[in-house]
Amino acid sequence: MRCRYVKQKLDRYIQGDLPGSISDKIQLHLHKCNNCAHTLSRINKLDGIFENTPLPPVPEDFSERLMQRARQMQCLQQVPGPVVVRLWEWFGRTSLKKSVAAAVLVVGLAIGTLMGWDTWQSPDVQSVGDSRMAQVEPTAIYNLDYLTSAPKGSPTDAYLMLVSATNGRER
Amino acid sequence: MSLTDEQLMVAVSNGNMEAFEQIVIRYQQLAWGMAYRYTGNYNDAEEVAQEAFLRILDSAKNYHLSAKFSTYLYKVLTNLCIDHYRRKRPQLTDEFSDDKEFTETPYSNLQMQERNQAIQLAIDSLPDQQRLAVILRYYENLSYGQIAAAMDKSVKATERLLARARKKLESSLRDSFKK
Repeated sequence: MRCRYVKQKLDRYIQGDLPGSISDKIQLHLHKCNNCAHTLSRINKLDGIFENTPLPPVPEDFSERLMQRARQMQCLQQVPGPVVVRLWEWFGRTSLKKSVAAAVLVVGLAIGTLMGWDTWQSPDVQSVGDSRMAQVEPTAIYNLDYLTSAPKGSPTDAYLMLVSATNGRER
Repeated sequence: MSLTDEQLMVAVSNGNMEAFEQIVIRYQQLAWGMAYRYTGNYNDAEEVAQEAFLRILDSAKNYHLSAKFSTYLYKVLTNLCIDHYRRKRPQLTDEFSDDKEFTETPYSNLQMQERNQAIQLAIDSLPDQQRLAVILRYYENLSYGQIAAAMDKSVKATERLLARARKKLESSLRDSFKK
């Protein structure tokens, strides 16, 4: 038996908290090992120091004060709260909590997937990211050709097209 | 014939306040003692001990009959002591000297007071987990298995915790050791 193991178990050995076989081995070891025997005496000494340390008595009326608080607590618990609170408490007590959380998660995921599917399928949205669009002249899209070096219409026409309700999409 | 703790707890879970009072009377010394050892003053000890009983009343329906009631109480007290430690660090020695009622006990001779103060200072200087383990081991005389259960640790972890605590206590109480 190693000294380190014995020292670790000495306090339990003093308490009689070890199985008989281990306790016997430790006893045998203690007869042979002065170092461990010395540790045992130190642990015993520490035990002795804590003996007879005074403890003040329980305060007077401790139980009466406690029972008063306990009864108040019971009364408060018996008073029914608003319907919403009671419903929430009932919900908390039932095993529905996890099932509802799981259902909400599944529904959320389904809605997310449907919305994502719709976006993915739409050709308009898909064309936004189309690289061909980047090559189209922006002045042609927004009828801003008057800003170019060779304008087709007059600046007045371009202005009217811009501010009109149709924004120049219809001619 | 008096009812067992477990029978009383079943009654408490059905709302029987007389059964709860029986529990309080049986265990007030234990709860108060541990809370006082840990917090170091009357007010905090009373608060912790009362809170422990109120929590037990509040969660009586969750009490498992397989668990020994005292172990359960120690567990609740241990959690409350740790909560208390996080809120404010205890200063036991100051309270000892201020407490008139307490100093009038037979232990009130100067030498004994000095010794007790040295012990409390040494315990105060320990980290919270070690202090709790020391209180449970040396004042409450619990076995390692019971300490482990109260502190939610394995027996091996408790052995290591107490070994570290003993080492620190020995160095703090070197003078007491020489005597």
